[in-house]
Amino acid sequence: MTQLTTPTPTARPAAAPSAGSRAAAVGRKLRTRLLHIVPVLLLVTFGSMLLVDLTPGDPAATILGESATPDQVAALRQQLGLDRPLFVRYGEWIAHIAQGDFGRSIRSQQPVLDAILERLPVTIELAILAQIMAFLVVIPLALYTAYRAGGRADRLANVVTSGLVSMPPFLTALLLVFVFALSLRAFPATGWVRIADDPLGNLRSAFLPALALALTELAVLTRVLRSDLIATLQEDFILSAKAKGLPTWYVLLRHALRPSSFSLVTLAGLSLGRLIGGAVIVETLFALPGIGQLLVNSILAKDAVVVQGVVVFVAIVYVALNVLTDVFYTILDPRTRVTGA
Amino acid sequence: MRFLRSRGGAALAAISAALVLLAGCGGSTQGGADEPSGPPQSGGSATFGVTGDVSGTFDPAKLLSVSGTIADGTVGSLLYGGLVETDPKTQQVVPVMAKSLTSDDGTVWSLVLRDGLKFSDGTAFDAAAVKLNWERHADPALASGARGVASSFASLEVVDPTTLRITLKDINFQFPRSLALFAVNWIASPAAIRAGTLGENPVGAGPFLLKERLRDDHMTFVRNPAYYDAPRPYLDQVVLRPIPDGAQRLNSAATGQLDGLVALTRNDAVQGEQQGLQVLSVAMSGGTSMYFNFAKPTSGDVRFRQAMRLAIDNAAVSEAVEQGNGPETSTFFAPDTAFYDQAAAFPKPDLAAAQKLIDEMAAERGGPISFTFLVDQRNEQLGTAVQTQLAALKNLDMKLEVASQFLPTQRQASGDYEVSVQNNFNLDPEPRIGLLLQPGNARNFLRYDNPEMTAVMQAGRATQDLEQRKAAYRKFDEIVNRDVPWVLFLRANPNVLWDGSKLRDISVFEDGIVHWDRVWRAGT
Repeated sequence: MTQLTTPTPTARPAAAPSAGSRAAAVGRKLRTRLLHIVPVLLLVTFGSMLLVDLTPGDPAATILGESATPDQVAALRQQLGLDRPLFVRYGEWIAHIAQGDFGRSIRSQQPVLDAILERLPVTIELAILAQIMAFLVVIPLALYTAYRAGGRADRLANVVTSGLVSMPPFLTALLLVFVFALSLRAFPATGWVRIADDPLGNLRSAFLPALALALTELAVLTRVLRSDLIATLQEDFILSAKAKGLPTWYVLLRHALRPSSFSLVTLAGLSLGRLIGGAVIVETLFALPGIGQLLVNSILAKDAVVVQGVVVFVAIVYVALNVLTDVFYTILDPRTRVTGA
Repeated sequence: MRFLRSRGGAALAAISAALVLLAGCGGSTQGGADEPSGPPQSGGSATFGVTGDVSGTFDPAKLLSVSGTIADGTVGSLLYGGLVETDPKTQQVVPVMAKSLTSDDGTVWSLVLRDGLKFSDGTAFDAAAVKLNWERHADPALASGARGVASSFASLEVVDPTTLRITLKDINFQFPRSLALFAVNWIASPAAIRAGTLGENPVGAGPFLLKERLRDDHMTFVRNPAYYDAPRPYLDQVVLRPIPDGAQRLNSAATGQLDGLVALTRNDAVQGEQQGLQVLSVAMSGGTSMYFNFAKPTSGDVRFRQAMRLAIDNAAVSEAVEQGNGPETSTFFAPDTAFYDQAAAFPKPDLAAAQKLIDEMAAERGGPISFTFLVDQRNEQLGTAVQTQLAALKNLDMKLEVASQFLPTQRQASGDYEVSVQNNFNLDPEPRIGLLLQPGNARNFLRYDNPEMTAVMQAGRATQDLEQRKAAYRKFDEIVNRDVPWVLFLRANPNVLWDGSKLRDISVFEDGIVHWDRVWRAGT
């Protein structure tokens, strides 16, 4: 999504822009990105409605259960408006969304926005915890393995991260449950404790699912950051810093890390969005009351109104994170305030 | 107490009990209940794993059927109790909040309620409340899952505060079974109905009250002090935890997060038993079966269906799908159920006889017999096991079509299949098997039409006398073995598992809903 010209780490900005021009550049970028949201949202919401419509099953039959006659099912379809063409239903839905009305669940009659907001804290907390866990490992590991590239630790880290990347999240989750819940009895196998009820219990209930999400992310992020760091460490300014006698940790953290972080920031921004939208498997496996489980249950019940609402929400989060990522570039590298699209 | 007894003399009370509940595993309790374990103690809490959250709201009109396989059944029973229930030991419908339900002619029924019933809001649970609830279910705007049952009423008349006269549109001596199976069994407070708050703040007369809910995480119920059957319930609190994955429910029990759980597969029950849990399995007749479309040339040929029956070895299918842990499947009616008849066993596997039938058809048609076996993803393993066995037959070409979860059911309903699979398990042939075999009925996706079978099912439906019903279903077995409308592969017996050191006096009704008002916690 980002349209950046990748800067060469050795290049230096020609002149520091003023605070006013910096704000104007960020404002331009925000406006452009916000305009991009509209077609993206239209595309994904229509696509999701189409997919829900194409999946077999009839929400009316599901609601009425096995005692219903075909006439009763047909009557409910009409009552729910399911007998009307897809485009008509989509148009009506868009019109309601434009007025801030996400509609109500076909099955539970709960307002969709309430349903999302009720589950949002769980998913957000999981995503943030997973990201924190990943970064706690990624930065030191990537710095060390890049600094000692080709060494024993680097090779071992490569093997481990390759393994983690190739493991599907459900397998990771099951292994974590087996080791930490069933064998060590250190964490619960399922369930959620609200932070307001018991902060420590909340962390215990979130640890395994967040770790399951973090492991895949950290493997990808470590490999990306390591590669960028290895390239940066070959640059003259690093050699120059070393020649000045600066300590290694200082060179790595202050000189090498920042210019190597572009890919990391891009991926981290995208992965946060992916974590929010993609917690489906982990939330189902750990029986967590988050957005992922809401989505799964709504798809199974063919509750298109809820599915649409969740899709819109996730799309907004995804696009917003993209915008934030772009804005963050302008902080990481002032040249993008001028050259960034 | 007179219940389900025709005034004409047919004595349903004489129905002899046939034990149903299996004790097929070491940690299992016998019969439908835990071993007696001393006087019940009041207090304490139980946390129980169910297969999901409620499918709609807490309004009875939005809860689906009275089944332990979904959360709706347990939740509805906790909140609303029930007018009647089916005892899985005897398959007999017995009164709970009703005092009796009687009919002379199968059309006009008299429902008499217990005296002094109260909803938890203090209002009277009377015949007018039942009438109001049932009329709601019939309202199309409400889209109730029990609308089919409510639509079968020609009229409802409040005779006195505890008596409701129900006139059905058609004769049905098995009406109490429909009442027990669907949400019409749960009566909510008319005051709460009128207030329009029932969905989130349910008011019933069941043993527990809803205290708190976090959707998809837990539902907490606390004891109803106004419950009619004091000193029950014994527990102060029941927490239901929706955990969709069966293995994770077991894991949660292993880590002490759950005191008990529902297990839908025999494998899960066996694993739970290995974990030291007590297991109570409800024997259900029927199960996962191969169904034939009688309207298609190949599957409509009785020789083909008989060949399938003879070629498929259920033991091998069970070995492939459930590691041989499943109950036996030699008859349609499960052993120890009222209509079980060992003499009605399906023919034993006979590949040579099956080959002869297929060869005969192939010779007539001038080529090999081809057909498609439509299964959903959950039954792919079953489909593959069947395909492997049928590969032994020459002149037969089976294609396995694996479709997404709901597609086979849709295609069955529309008749767009030759051979397919469905999980159809029941405590009694009525009402579901009766509808499945009724010509012209929407549920008859087999397109089966045999007047002899129709008469037999009608005979089973039209009497309350057990011996007459047994006679009817012996004939049913004969016709099933002759016509082969399905090939039964696996039984699907729901299981309740619990930690016997914590929970006592577990018993179930219907297909495995725990009597939570009777359960107590040890050491409280």
